[in-house]
Amino acid sequence: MAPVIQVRGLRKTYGDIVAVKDVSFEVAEGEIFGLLGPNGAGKTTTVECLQGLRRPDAGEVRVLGLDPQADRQTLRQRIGSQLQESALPDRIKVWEALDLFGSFLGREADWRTLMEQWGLTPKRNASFGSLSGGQRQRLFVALALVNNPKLVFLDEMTTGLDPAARRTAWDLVRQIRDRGATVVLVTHFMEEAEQLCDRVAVIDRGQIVALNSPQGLVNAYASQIRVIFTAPAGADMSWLEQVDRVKKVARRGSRVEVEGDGPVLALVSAALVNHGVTPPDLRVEQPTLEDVFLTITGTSLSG
Amino acid sequence: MRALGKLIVVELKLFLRDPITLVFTLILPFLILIVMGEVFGRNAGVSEMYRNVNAMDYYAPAYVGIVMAAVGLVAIPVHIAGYRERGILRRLRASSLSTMSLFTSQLAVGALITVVSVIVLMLPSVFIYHIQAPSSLPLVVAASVLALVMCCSLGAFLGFVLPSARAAQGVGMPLWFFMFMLSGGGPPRGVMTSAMQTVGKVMPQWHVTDLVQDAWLGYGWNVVASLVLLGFLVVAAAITFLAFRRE
Repeated sequence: MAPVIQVRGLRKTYGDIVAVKDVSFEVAEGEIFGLLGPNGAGKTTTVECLQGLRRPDAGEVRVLGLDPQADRQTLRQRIGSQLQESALPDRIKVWEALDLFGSFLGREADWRTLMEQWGLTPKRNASFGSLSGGQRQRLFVALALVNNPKLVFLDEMTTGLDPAARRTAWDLVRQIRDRGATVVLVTHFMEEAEQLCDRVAVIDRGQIVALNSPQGLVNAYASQIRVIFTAPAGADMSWLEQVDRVKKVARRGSRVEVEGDGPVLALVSAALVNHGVTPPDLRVEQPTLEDVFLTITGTSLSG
Repeated sequence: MRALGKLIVVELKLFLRDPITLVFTLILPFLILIVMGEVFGRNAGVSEMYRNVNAMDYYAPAYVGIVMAAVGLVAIPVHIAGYRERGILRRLRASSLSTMSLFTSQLAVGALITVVSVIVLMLPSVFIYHIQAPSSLPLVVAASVLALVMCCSLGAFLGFVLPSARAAQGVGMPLWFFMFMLSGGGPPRGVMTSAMQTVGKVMPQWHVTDLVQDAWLGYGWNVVASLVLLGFLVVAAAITFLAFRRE
């Protein structure tokens, strides 16, 4: 099956600023594909080139088999877009927005079902300006879906949402995919990419620096596991360094942090028991995409 | 076409829900007309100051232009600048809505509001101040259409070059008052100093008044005024188009 998106050697500059240096990737049908990176990395520019909102300086872009520049109108009828930092007029009502965007397609759109599915029916006569952040986000996603698109772009859909609303939004994204659409998710939240994406492209300074499944990225770039527990401040723990798979032992007062990889948790636990140490607070920290990002780019995303 | 129809209906509703645009396009022109009518319109008698007609015969055609100026200088710039500032324009462009539909809807809403507001103005003009009927209705309509399209493209121009809705409001409103006062819609031209007249002539509203008033009072089609308005229209539309492309 032909990929839904094909990008080869995409480049886009604004004056002297190179927003996207050289980006290539493919997205398969039914995937939730993530573009992950800090603000200003070139994620949104990349997506805007795919949507036909910007003309690339170089490179080949095919979306649903179409050229986003030449076939802009056709393409926009087949894709759905939720844009970063976009809005609707404050005084437009929920049903009016859905009805209006549904009419752009030229045929009757079933926006009432969509309004029901996304929990907007109780708010149908509310104005956009009176909606909460979560309700607005649901409306934007509903608008992105009103033309029943094969491909949906979601750019920073959970920015500004509280944690509960964010989790709801994640469920909604999974629902979109389950309905058979391919999803391109732009985010700078590690956890979001980890939770949702089948594959993630890590973008930094206009380039893709890594591309794999979230677990694959973790395995490849951040295999370090941390085992953490407390022990009496003075207790001799130097024997821990002899335990197989342990790379490093750090102590901060009564807190002990053991770094290692593979089955290090099991090995450290066994050694602790053998030495008669049974801390009640033994826990393990698995590496996350955050660590991957730190390893690859040398900078923290959330910092 | 269906999309354009829906867009016009929604844009019209948004227009009617916005108190500022309503005040400037419907309420203020009406109040100004009533005030001028009560002060000058009751003393019947032609005056040289008013181009040898009654005061309200002079003012009523000028106020048709004032309504269109409110559409073009206040309503449309604030609306479009707000759309750009808040990312609404981006969202609309990402949908399959065509650029033409977007501009057509603004023009259509501007035309509808103008028609309604002019009808509202004509009620007291006709029934209280007994103004004379247009000497040539087709010429008045033609003059108004040209003036309206010019005002709308001026509005789109302001909406695209000014950074925010607030800036558009800050520029558009004073400009509207200024043009209103110096175009002959406030003090009649006969009492203006030559400096006031010179400044007035630089602005499009002066020529809108010329074009509509001449057609109304039987002076025929003012060729110079129509060419000036056409010039403003073309330049504003061209800059708007370039700004839109760059956006």
